[in-house]
Parts: sequence; C-alpha cells; structure tokens
Amino acid sequence: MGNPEDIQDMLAFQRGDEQGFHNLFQRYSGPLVHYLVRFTGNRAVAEELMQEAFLRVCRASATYEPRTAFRTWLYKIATNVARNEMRRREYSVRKEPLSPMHPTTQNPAIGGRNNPGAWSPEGVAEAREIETDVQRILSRMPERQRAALLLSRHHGLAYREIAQAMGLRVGAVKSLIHRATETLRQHLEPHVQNLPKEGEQDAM
Amino acid sequence: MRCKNVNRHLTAFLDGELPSRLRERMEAHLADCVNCQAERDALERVRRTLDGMEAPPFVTSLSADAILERARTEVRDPGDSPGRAEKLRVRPFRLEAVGLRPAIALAAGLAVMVLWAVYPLLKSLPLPTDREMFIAERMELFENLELIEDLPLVERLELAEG
Repeated sequence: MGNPEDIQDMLAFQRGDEQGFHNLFQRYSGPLVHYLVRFTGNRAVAEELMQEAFLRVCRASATYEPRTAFRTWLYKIATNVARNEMRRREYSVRKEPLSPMHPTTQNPAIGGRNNPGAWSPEGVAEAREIETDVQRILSRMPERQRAALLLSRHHGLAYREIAQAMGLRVGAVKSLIHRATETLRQHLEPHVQNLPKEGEQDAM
Repeated sequence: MRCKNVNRHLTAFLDGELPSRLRERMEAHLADCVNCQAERDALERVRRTLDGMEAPPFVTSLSADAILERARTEVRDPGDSPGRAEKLRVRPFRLEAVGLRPAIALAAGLAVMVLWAVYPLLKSLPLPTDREMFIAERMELFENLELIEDLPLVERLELAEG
C-alpha cells in the first residue's frame, strides 16, 4: 500500500536530507489541509494543524519505520493533532461555510466534474448549499466516525490503513464508516435525490 | 441473506472492502431485492456527493523550510500544543541529524552536572540574602534547560564564583 516514493523520501529525511521532507510536504500538505478543513470545519485552524502535523513528522522522523505507509503514519499524526486540538478548544459546531471556496474553478459542484449541470448558476448555488450542509453534519458527527469517513472517501485509505491510523480494528472502522454514511444520507436525502444516478467517476 | 444483514455491509460493499464470499452473497441478494437496491443507490449518491466536494484552493505562507526551521530551533517534547513550542527557543542545532531523544538526554545530563557543580557554591555562600540573590540572578539557569546547553556560561559562572 505504501507509496515507494514516500518511503524513499522519508528515509532520505531520516538521513538528514531535507529534500525528502520538501517532497513529502509538497505531496501531502494540500490533502492534509483538505482533511483537516473537513475535520475541524475551519480553514485557518486546519492550516495551523497541518503545520503542526508536519512539525511532528520532523520531530518523530527517527521513529518512522518503512513497514508503515508514510501516508498512514502522517494521517495518524494529523488525526491525533486534530482531536487534541478540538478537545482543547472544545470546538463548537460551525454553521458557516469554512472558507471562501471558488465553485467555478475549484469546486465545480457536488457530483463532480462529470456532472454537466453543475456548471449552471443553479448547479453551483446548490452545490454550495449541499457542501455547507455536509460540513455541518460532519461537524456534529462523533469524531471517530468523521475521521474514518474522511480518510476513506477523501483520501482513499483502505479500511486496514484507517484502522492502523486510528488504532482500531478493521471491523470497527467498517462500522464507523457505515454509520457516518447513513447519517449523511438521512440528512442529505432531499438534496441527493436530484443528483444523477449513474456516475462513472470514482473516489480520489 | 436478510435485508438487515445486507444493509449492515452495504458501505463496505461499495468500498470493495468485503471478502469475496460475502460480496458474492451480497450481490446475489441485491440482484433480487428492490429495497436493498434502493438503499445501495442512496448510499452511493451520498458517496458521490462527498467525492464531488473538492479541496479548497490551498495556499499557505508557511513552507516546508519554515517547518524545518521551527523543528531545528525548538527543544520541547512532542506533547506540546501548537504555538507554545515557538516561544521556547534555543541555539539552533541540527535536529534532523541528531534526533530529539539524544538532545533531551544530553540536556538532562547537563542539568544534573550543573546542579552538582552549583550546589556547593550555594551552600558556601555565607548570608541567606546573598544566597537568595545568587538564585534570583540565575533563575533562568534553573528554569531553562536550554541555557544549560551553553557550557561556557556555566564555566564562567564557576570562575566568577569560585
């Protein structure tokens, strides 16, 4: 599962080669912010936590072992950082959209790029509305459900990797993701009924 | 297979996370059961909704270099919350070459050495006020491990006092 480039870069960094760290940062800082934005509901906090996660990668680089996929290790660190931070701040539910998103360029619409209707003004407006809803539902979800769902859907981690990252058994991960999806479904049903049924685009 | 059982496994089914035997039984049930098909399609739509939510544009002023620099200049343990580590700075050292644990061990060792060296001085001072002054003036020494890393400072102290 581990990306060989990641492991090479991490081992290089362990030997003191900073280019390895630069490569990893370049590859993962974006996805990590994405994960943390969804996790915390706050863009500024997400960036801060991303930096903190990479700082911990630096500090703990000596403890990294290549038999764990770097990405699993990184998401584990990030999830811990995020959960600690949420606890510390006793985060309240966010009702606002997280960040100025740009639906026309970055966020075509719910349903993905292959959905032609997404580019119409109505499509964009609705996409935004759904996105806000999704974020609100995510924020209210138990942390572990949220983390497991995001790692699975947005970051393409296998259940086994998520279990590793979260210190859970695979069966627990499976049930967390299912419950999270069901919760979203119950809340989103009125919206998602309008979405195209057939779709060939798949997960990231 | 009963609908209730099928439902329980649906998300993992869609994620391709079921063992082949179970997956085949799910497929067989889904081929006939309209209710479970509807349930599967609903979950599939939710999944596609999530997939359609792309990453916000990512711009940060902080680069990998800044993080490396921060790692080099901090001395706190990894249990720190963000922000606090920034305030505690020591002379830069090559963290990535040395690793943090040896650095902590070194600092602890030095702390013991310094306390051992300073204790007789404390005892030998005649007046309580002088002694308090001695501690007060060098409070940092007792509070900040990072100062102890500066051995010449300790030597100077010893020369001055002894």
